[in-house]
Amino acid sequence: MNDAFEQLDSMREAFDSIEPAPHQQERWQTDVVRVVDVMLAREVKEQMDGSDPVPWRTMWISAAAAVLALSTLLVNPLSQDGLRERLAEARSALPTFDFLQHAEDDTAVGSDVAMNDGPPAPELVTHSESLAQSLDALFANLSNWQDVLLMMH
Amino acid sequence: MTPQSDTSNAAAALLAEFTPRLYRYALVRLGRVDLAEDAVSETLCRLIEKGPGVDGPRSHVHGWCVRCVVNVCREISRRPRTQALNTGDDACGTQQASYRMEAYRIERWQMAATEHGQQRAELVHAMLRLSERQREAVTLRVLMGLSVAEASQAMQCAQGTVKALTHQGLHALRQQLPEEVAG
Repeated sequence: MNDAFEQLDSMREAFDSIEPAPHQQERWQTDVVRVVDVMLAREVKEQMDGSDPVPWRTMWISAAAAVLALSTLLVNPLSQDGLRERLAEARSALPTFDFLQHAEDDTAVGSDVAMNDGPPAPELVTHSESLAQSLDALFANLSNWQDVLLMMH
Repeated sequence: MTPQSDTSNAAAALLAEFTPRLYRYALVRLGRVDLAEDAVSETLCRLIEKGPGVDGPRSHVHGWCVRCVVNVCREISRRPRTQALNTGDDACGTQQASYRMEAYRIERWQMAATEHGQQRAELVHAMLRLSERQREAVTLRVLMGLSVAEASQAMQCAQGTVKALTHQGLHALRQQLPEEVAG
């Protein structure tokens, strides 16, 4: 029986040591980031043209939320300190709320986004407040990381 | 900082976190570095296409990505070109032969050049002797540590099926692993 457990441990160890080739990992990063940039630029342009009412900012917020979810869910096993650290990183990766205060984007072009001081759209405010409240709740409940993970679900 | 760069940073962080995990699954499932890289790339494309929180993943991005890479690996393993490559069919032409040689070179580097290289190679080769479904179940449950429920969602089958496939796969592995991995 011990041999069987040792075999499984060896298998897991070998599995966990598999990493993509560095050049491939770099290529994924570069390509995907480029695609996201292109998609954002396209969304901005479509908004400017009035041809697509989809708020591109929602996608941006969703990406930040996805990072938060990944940061907390992907680390396995995750210590309490590790979770606290990752949540802090995730929180700092969400400077989006400042931007939302200036989120009238009718003059946004490509990567040069001009920010006017008009009020943000109500649904975006609700979305951002909800995210902020979720994050604050997570920080307030770090006594048991398993509870925090359940909250994320 | 522009929203574009915010999103780029978010996407970069996202990728750094989960691509190695998806890649491990794909490599053990497909047994080839080049195909595993294709599978991860395709999964990333689908993630971007769907977009988090729209038609794609919502709160559990990881679960969505695992389910996606399981499907992508199934699709890749059914491609005629993949079957030709796997059987060493020379009729697939010079370009594919060159592609195969490059894949082999990378694979040797991946498998043998580092501390656990030999173990990794033996693990992959042992897993390739299982049926595809057994390989999926053992990889998800035993190697990636997913629960039965999570694995059944990823494989889109009943939980009992996952349990049975895992049991069968482990039994088969135990027949061949003593001198290969544990040794």
